[in-house]
Order: sequence, then structure tokens, then C-alpha cells
Amino acid sequence: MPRWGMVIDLKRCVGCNACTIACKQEHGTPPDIHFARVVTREVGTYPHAKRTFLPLLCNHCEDAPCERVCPTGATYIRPDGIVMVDADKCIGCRACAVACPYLNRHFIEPGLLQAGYGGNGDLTPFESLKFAAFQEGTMTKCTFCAHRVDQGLEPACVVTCPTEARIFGDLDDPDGRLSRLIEERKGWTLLPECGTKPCVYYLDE
Amino acid sequence: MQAHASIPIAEHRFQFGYYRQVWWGWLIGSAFFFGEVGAGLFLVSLWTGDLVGMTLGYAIVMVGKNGAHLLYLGRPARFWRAARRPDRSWIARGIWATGIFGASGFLWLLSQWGDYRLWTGGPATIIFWMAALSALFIMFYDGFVMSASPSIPFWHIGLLPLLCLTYAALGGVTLSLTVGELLGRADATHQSALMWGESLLLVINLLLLAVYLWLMWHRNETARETVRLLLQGRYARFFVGLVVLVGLIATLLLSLAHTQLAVRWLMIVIAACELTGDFTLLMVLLKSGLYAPQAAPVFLPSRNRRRS
Amino acid sequence: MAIQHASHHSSMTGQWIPSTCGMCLHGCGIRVQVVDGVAVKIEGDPTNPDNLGKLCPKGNAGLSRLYDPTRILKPMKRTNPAKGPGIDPGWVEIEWEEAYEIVARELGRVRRDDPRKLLCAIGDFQRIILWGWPAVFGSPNFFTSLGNYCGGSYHPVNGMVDGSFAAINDYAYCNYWIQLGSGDGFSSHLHVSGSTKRMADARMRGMKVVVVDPRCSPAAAKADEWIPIVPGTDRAFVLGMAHVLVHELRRYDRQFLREHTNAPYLVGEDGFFWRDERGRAQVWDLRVDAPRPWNDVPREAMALEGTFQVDGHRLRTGFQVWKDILVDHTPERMAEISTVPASTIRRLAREFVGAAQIGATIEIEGKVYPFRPAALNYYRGAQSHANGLLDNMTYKLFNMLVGNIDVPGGHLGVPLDHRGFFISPGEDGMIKPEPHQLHPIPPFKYPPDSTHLMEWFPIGFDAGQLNAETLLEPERFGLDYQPEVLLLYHSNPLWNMPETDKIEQIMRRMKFIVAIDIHLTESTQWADVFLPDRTYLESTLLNCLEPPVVTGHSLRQPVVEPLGDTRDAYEILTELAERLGFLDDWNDLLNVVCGFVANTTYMLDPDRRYTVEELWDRFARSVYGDDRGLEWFKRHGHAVRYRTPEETYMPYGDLRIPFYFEYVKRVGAQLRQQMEAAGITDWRFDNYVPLPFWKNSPVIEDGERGYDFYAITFKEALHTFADTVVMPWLTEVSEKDPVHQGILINRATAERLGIETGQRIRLVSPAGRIEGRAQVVEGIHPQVVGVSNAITREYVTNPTVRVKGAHFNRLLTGSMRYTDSATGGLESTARVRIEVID
Repeated sequence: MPRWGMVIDLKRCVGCNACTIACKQEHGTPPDIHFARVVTREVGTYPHAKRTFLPLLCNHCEDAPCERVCPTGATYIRPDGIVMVDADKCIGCRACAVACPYLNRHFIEPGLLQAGYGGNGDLTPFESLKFAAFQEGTMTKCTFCAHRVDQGLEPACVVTCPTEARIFGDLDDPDGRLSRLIEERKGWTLLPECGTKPCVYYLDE
Repeated sequence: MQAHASIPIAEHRFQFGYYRQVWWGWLIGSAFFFGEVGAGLFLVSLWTGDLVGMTLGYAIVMVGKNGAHLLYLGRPARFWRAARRPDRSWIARGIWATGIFGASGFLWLLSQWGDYRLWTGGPATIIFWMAALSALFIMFYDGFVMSASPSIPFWHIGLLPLLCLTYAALGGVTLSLTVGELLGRADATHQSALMWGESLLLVINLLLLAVYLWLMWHRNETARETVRLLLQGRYARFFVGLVVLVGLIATLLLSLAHTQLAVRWLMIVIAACELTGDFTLLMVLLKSGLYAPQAAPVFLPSRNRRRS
Repeated sequence: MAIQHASHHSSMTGQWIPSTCGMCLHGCGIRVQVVDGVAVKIEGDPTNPDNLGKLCPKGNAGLSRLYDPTRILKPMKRTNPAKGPGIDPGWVEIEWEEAYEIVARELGRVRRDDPRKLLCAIGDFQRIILWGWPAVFGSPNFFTSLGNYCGGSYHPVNGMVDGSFAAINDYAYCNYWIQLGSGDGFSSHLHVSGSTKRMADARMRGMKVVVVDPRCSPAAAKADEWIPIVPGTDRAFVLGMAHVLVHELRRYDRQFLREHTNAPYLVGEDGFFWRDERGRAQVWDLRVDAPRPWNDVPREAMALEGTFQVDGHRLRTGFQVWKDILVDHTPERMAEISTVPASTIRRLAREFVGAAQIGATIEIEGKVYPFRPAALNYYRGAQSHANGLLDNMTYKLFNMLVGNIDVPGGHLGVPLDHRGFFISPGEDGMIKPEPHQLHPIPPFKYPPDSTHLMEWFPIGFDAGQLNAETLLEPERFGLDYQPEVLLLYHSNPLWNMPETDKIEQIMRRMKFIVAIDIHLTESTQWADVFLPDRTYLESTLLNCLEPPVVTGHSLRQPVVEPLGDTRDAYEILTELAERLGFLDDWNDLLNVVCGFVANTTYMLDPDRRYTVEELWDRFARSVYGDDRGLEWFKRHGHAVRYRTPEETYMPYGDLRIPFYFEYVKRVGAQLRQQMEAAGITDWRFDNYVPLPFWKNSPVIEDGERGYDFYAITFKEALHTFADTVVMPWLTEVSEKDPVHQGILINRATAERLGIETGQRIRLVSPAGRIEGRAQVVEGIHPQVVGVSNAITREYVTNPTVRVKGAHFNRLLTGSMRYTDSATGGLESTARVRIEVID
């Protein structure tokens, strides 16, 4: 049973946001919801200033606080480590959103699925198809593109990344690409003090 | 809203910085408030035997707390599903406690309001203790709901449920005193004990808040940032002004004065001050909660860099 | 479980349709998944070596263009004759027959009167074969800055040096990459998806990147070094480095210069080649210490440098002339101009020439080439200026100093399309200069026929910005007619051209405006008739534009039934040609531009009307063989392959490339004669020079008029051209990045002026003014303010997208004074002063 994880190489990433839009396209998320995103930050002072880019997505934590606090069991962890939401069971209490240190939980506000990006109150054929998978009043989140992974495909953000900064694979494979990269480049995780044991590792620039 | 050094408070998730807790707001704050003071009032009233207080406390919990929760849920019709995970989730435990309270409290009130006692002896004792313990649980479990996750350092501390308990007790005592005085049915012994209890709880809460802030100041940068918000920043006038000055200090002074001045309307003022401070504290805790910034080491000033 | 997404059932065969992205001009290979007639996903085509399965954010947003509810899906005509911003056109939907009737009537009237009275603005790169339509109509005019804004001086110089259209360094072998004013490999320009991958791989294997840019672009952010610079002074910086190589380190590739360029050719005092009685160019024969014809002297015997006296004439080699020019281009003087410290100029020059490994060779696929793994790349920011010709020359010459032109590791030409480099023997053993690859330039004519004075730029690009001057002051240029009708085909002149107010004035004079487009924009809302085109996901063509590493066409094909009642632009223009009576000429032109005249099997019958599929089927067969027509492409998606080393390296072979641009000087001299004969006395010839040097541009001189800052514009991966700037999937993200939230201003500068982030400020240039929100950043030169293209649109049809309205091009001018006199290249930087709005 693989333990799915991702390595994000910050040396490769150029902050283009292809991942952000590919995810938007793959899932057809409603406005203002992005499972994948890139945070940019300026560091230093002129002329030794630069912009840095940090791509983010759900860390699919081994010890996921969102799963722990969910009162209904709507949030669950698959045997392969992917943290999922069963929207049918979700009551929209947003405890998971509060509990996630990484802000990777998204609430679908009532009314959000009625109007798409057109601003004219109608849904496009694409939006009609994609929005049908969401339920208002429930939580949604990055699924590591479980529906693609189950068919042997990689997540949409990984496939599109022009610089191949996102690498997806089995963390438990000692000879696998992820394990090697994490060891060679001393991969680290976000907010380790929270004890969530993320499955997304970063490699320094 | 300026942040310390070069780390801002982020306006949205694409921005680096401390991120504000934005999901739980007025409705959850109200639910917590109604739950705590309502259960507190119920429990105190069980001790004083004040039926009106008991009923009022019960109503505050059942209508105020449950109503606010139901209004808040994205899918309120599915609320019953929240009972599924009491093994892990404090919210689920809260649902059970509220359910037990709803049933046993109702039965207890039913038995008290009638001219005859509906049940006595063993059954009555069981109902009584179920109502009392579930009320006690409701008084403090909100604190555990908030402290359960490590995501908001300012909330992630065992002191928070304790603070909820003492504030719930304070609220219950205050309301009990108010009801007692307004309806003139107060047992003088109880009233006097409650007055001293009020003052004692006010001092305890003051001390607890001070300890809380001191602990948070020394916990980490993110928690410290919240303390700044509460003492100097955006929420200072609410925390320092309403929570501390009005809700605790003014209340304390007025309470001490009230022991000398037996004026009825003064109790209403005391209650208004205390409850305002209580509700404001809950709102301010919810609003000022911050998440640590998600940072690549290069994002942070060098002294802040941490590695796993 | 919750409802499954349609893509949950995605599979690799049967449901994915190969096509080509149309979100920028380059056309990465894509596959589109279609479920029950609805397009649900676009991904990069992993079989296409151009982009290797990757896709930039714009490509990922393509479905939101296809299904954009604000698209125009039926022809419309205007019922409110009043035109202008904020005026409701009173659109009424009409049938195609009525639309064609109206347009044919108006255009026909003009054509019978004077076909030059048609102004054309065409901005559809991937349908480049259609660009000749106005010429067949009879109009030579070009009412857009398309191509000129970035390429006005770039393309002519690339064509003159090695028959290329664009240029890039060798991703595969370069070790030291200097980049000036460009997003190549990080955010923009050539084939972003594949280039970013190649750049990342190169950086990971250790290639060092130095980025010179007024602001900290994504390229600068990832580079090993960011060198801030004053806009428009990149040439000074490189001239300083050239001085270091030539005069201080004395390290340069003498062999390359002697063997592959005309640097050894002797130049007389008049600046022209010293020729013998038979008109042959001469070199200095070291064996006999005398000038001899270039093809009579073995290479080792040619002098590369030196000043020689012959019969009282002072002769110098071309190289010597530049060497002498470079004497006073010291790092100290260049540092003052560019603000790049002299020590940095020296250090980078030393590192560069060291990394270039002059003299090294490499074997690739059994053949030995020179190996020069250091190269200088550049694009818009570094050369889209009033002296752009000199900028481009400088960068080419600097590369030539280390002998890296078209060799492994070095600076590689990029051809316009699948035909490869346009290299043929010219005079004196040199390649024939090919400054014009898009269309031939008409000979000099007075009075001019074209409103953008195409006849007066013999080596230039189409200087669309000059319309602002010529049309509002026609007597100055002798223009003997006034245009009356405007065709807007996928172009937005009110956004892309300088001096928006003047463009507006010109458009007000139009008696009839027809738009072929998908959206209402600043410009198309002025149309009298709107003819809706199809998006790239609903139309057909074969695309191969400026491919840096690969060659071959990629098919664009409809992936869904076209929405609404739209027509392919080819069909629209062909229908109009038929109604206007020049279908035969139109087909004749297509025969030329599609190359059918060379391969006559597929020639179009002039009198027949061909569908878009028929046209492209013939094109495909004519290029790839009779068994590879449209049907083959529909199955395979593309015929893209890597260019071979033979196709990539040293395409000039034994022919020499220009170091000393005598051709430019000759063209200038000839133009001067022609202009004098025509009585034109106030035309500038100052940039018809054979070698570059430093001189101030008018932008620099504007500093003395109280405009103390430089304003630049820029783009990043999320947005290119005008149409992506208003797409909500993309703006939702760009609006959250500080770099796209306001006018960028350096923090120290902002503190000095008392400006904080969020304050509204005004930029005032000699030509215009704009207002916007200040955004204080560290990553920009203290004398520079930056305006992202993301905040420049003034007209948005989607109510969820905010209008930011800091329309940068209002600050620019289209006047001749700020235009390169030789290429017509426009000045893309403006001097401004900053005002705080209370």
C-alpha cells in the first residue's frame, strides 16, 4: 500500500501559478476556492531583494487535525494516506477549517454554486458539470487528485508544472524518487511543531 | 493592522503572514456564550433551588446555544451526524452532552414545576446528576473545542477550557443573582454566598487572563502577535476596555459596592457589565486567533528560521 | 459517496483530442478531454517535444475562454451612432447575411474610391497566413503596435545576422547565461511551457544565470544574481563589458571573428567597405601587408584588427572600428549611465569570457562544433527603445566577441517557422541580410502610401505607432488621403498603441468600423458591425511560430461544436474577399504565403472558394507529404520534432555573418538620397550606422524636463496580450500578488516621497498620464516605477473582474522623435513624474 506524498522543489519553482489554474480546471472549483496556490514573498532589501515562491496544497497529514476534530467522520484518511471529505456526511461546522494549520480546508458558502465566474448569474456548461460534484454548506479540499491517482495518473498540478517542481510518489518506497530527494536535499515540512506529520516535503532553493 | 517586524497579518491565503481565524464568528461566539452562561445558570440554580433560574438557564442553552449552532451549520438538517465521533471529536462530545442535558434537564424541570414530584428517589437522583454533570460539561467543553488543534497557538492550551469553566461559573452566578434580586425570591444566605462567589470568580478570571497572556507571550511569535492585538492592536479597546475594565474590574467594584448598597438596578448594571465582558472575551478570542505563517526558511528573518 | 466528477472517468484514449493552445502566440501542444460534448480539461500534450506535456497558467485557463458568457456569439450591428468609452453601442443581433452585406458594402465603397482608405489592425498571430488580406484589398496600412512593441528592432537584426526571427541561448549546453530585460525560461516569450522546463533543468545541472532588469522579475528572483539597471541603458552595460573584453582583458574569439564574420573587412574613412575596382570587399593580407579581395586571402592571413594607410587613405578593419569606438565606453562611464557598478561590469565580463571557453570544441552526433557555453539573451526590456537597432547590434556583437553565435552552448537564432533560417549567399561572401521575414517591404515612395510609413523604413518593421503622427498631421508626411474605414481583427489598438487619446481621435474619424473578434474590448466596442470569430478550441489551423528548440507544425482543431453562430476568421475574410471581388487575388496570395507556388500540386484554384479544412489539408500535404494531410494531423496532433544539430548550429556554414553592418549604412545612404530627391528635409537617419555605441535617447533627455522617474510595464506568466488580463480564473490569482496590485515603487523612493502602499498616485509623462494605487516594493530600481499589464485594462465585460485602469501605454508616445530612425521600433519606456493624489 503506497503512502502518497509530494516533494516540491523550491529551486525549480518560478511562481507561475500553472498549478493553481490546473487545479482550478481539474476540479472546477467555485470562485475564491483554490486547492493549490502559490504564496509569494519579497525578502531582503534593495538591491539584494528577491521574490520567493511557496506553492501550497493540502499536506495530507498522517496525523491530520482535521480528521481528528471532525464530529461526523465526513473527513477520513484513506489507507494510502489521502485525506478526503465525504460531502454527504459533512454538516458544515467548519471545525476542520479551524483545525488545519495550513488553511487547506474550504467551505462552500450557500449560494456559491448558483453563480459561476461569468458574473451574470448563469453557469457555463463546464461549471454546470463540475459544480455538481460540490454541495453547498459543506467542506471541500485538495484530494491529491485521488480520482486520477486511482487510475495511475498524477495529480493535475504535478502534470502541468512546467519546471517539474512538483514530484508525486510513494513516500514509503526507500528507493523511490521522493525518499531520495528528501534525503539528498534535506527536505522539510511546513510547521513541524504542529505535529501533523505532513506528506508534502519541500526542497530548498 | 501592522504586525511585528516584517511579518504581516495576511489578508488572504495567497499572502504570506499570520492568517486570521475567519470561520467561527458571531454565531459561534453566541453559541459558546449562551451555552456557558446558560449551563452555568442552570447549575448554580440547581444548588440554590431557584426554579426560574433553572428554567431560564435551560432555555438559554436549548434555544440560544442550539439555535445559534443550527443557524451556523452549513447543513443544519444533518446536525445529528455530529454525534458520530465522540471518541475523537469534542464537538461530537458536546452534541452528546447537549442531548443528555436536553433530555435530563427537561425531565428534571418537569419534575420540579409540578405540584407533585413526578419522580423521586433513585430515578430523580439519576436525572438530577445527569442534568448537573451535562451542564457542567457544557460549561467547559467549548474550551476544548478551541484548544483541540495545534493550528492556532493562542488557543492550544489547557488553560482555555479552565477559563471557559470559570467564566461560565461567573456568568451563572451573575445571572442567578440577577434573577434572584429581580424576582425578590432570593434566599439571603444563598444571595450572600453568591455575592462573595461573584467577587472571587472575578478575581480568579482576572488572574487567569493575566496568566494566559503571559504564557502566550512566551509561547511563540504567533501567540505573541495575538497578545499584541489584544493589548495594543485592533482588539485592544475590546479586550482591555470591555473584557477587563468593564467586564471584570468595573463589575468587581460594583459588586463590592452592591454588598453595601442594596439597590436592585445596580445588579442589572453589574450583570450587563459582566455579561458584556464575557461575550466580548469569546468574540475577541475567536477573532484574534492567528495561524503561524507557512514559511520557507528564506521567507523569515534569519532569527526566525526553523527546520524540522 | 458524493457525486463523481466527469474526469473521474478520464482515460488516456478515445476521449482526448489533440490540439494547439491559442492563449499566446506560440502554440504549445495540448490535449482536450471532451465528455458528452463539453470540454472538461486541457492538458499539455506529452508527445509534443515543444512543451513536453507542460502547460502554463494561461493554457490551463482556456476552457474559461471557450465558455466565457461574455463572448459575442452572433453578429451584431450598432444602432447608436455615438461612439466612445462609456457609450452604449445599442447592439442588435443580426444574421450573417445582413452583416456581410453591410461590411461588403462599406468596404466595397472604399475599395472603389481608394483602397488605401482602409486601416487594418490585425493581431491574430496563429493565423499569420491571413495577414496579407489588407494588401490584397489594396491597403498597405498597419494600425497596431503588434510585433513592434517588442520586436520592432529585434526581428530585423536577427534576420540580418543569421536569417532568424528570434533568438535564445542554448538551454542544453550553456553554462553561463546573462539575460537582459526578458522573461525567457521563467515567465514569458518563446514557448513558455517548454522553455521553463529547459531552463529549470539547466539551472539544476549548474548553469549560472545573471538577470539584468530594472525590477526583480521572476527571472531575477530565480537568478544567481539580479543586476538592477536603469531602463533603456542595457546597451551601455553591455558596451562596458565589451570594452573590458576588448581593451582590458583582451580576450575574445579572434578565430570566430576572422572566419565567420565580416570583422576583418576593411572600412574606409567614409564608413563603407574599401572595395577594389571590381567592387569586391577587401581584407588586409598579412603576408603582403596590403589589401586583397576577401576571397583571395586564407583566413589565417587576414588581419582582424589594425589601422592601415593605403594611398593616403586610412583603412581599418571593421573590428578595429568598433575597437576604437569602445575606447571611451569605459566601465566607469557606462556605470554612470546604467547605475550598474563598474566593478560589476568588469566582474561579469571576466566571468562571461571565462565561462565561454574560447577555443573549445564539442562533438555532437559525430560532428565537431565550436563549444562556447556562455551567452547573452535579451528581449523587449533591453531593446524596445528609441535606439533599438543599436541595442540589438550591441548584444549580437557582444556574443560574437566570444564566438558563440549559433554554436553549442551559445546564442542561437530561432527561425520564424518550419522553414528554418533564411540564409542565402549575399554579397562579399556574406549572408544575405533578411530583415523582413513577415512580408516584403515596398520600395521608397513619396508621397507614402501607408499611414505607418512602411516605405520609409527599408530595414524596418511595421511601425504602427506612427499612425498617431501621420494621421493627425498628414501634411507633414505628404500623406495624400485620409483613411475612412477600420478593420479590427483580433486587435485592440486603443490598448496596445501609444498615445491612446490620439488613437481615439483617429477612430472617431472612421466612417465605418468592422470588428472580427470574440469579445467587446476598448476597441471593438467602437465597431459598427461585429463579426464573431471562433476561439482556438473551435477552429482549425496548423501552427509553427518561433519554435526555439523544435520545428514542425501542431494542429489546432475544434474540440467541441462551435458555440453560437460564429465563423472561422478565415471563412469571414474569404467571404468578404469574394463579395468584394478579389477572391482570385486572395487565393493567389495564399498560394504564396502557404508555399504552394513552390509545390504546385496543392495550388489553390484562384476562382474556387476553399473551406478552412481544405486549405489546411493542402498546407499539411505540401509540407509533410501527401499521406500527412489534415486527417493524419487530427489523429496525431502534431508533426513537431527536435531540430537536428545540423539545423540548429552554424546554419550560415561558410558564409560570413555581419559584425560591421555596412548593409545598414548603405541602406541609410540610399534612403537619404531618395528622400532628398523627394524634397523631404526633416527625416532622421541617425541610426543607419554600421556599429553600435552609446548615445542618450530622448527618454533619458526627458529627465531634464522634470520627469525624474522611468516608467516600465511588464508581464508575467499569468497574463499576456490584452485578452488574458480580463479572464477571471487568471485575475482571481494575479489580483492577490502585490506585484499586480498597483504601481510598483521602490521602498526608499516611496519613503522619500512620503508614499505608502494603497495611496493613489499619478504618473505624468510628456505624452500622457495615468492613475493607480501605489505598491511599495523592494524589488525595483529606485528611479523606476513599474506597471504590470494586469492593471492596465480600462474596459472589462465580466463584472467579477475589477477594472484597474492604469493604462500604461497612455504614457508612451508614437512620435518619430521616440522611434528608432532605422527600424521604426518604438520606445516602450517613458519618463514620468510622480504626483500623490490626496
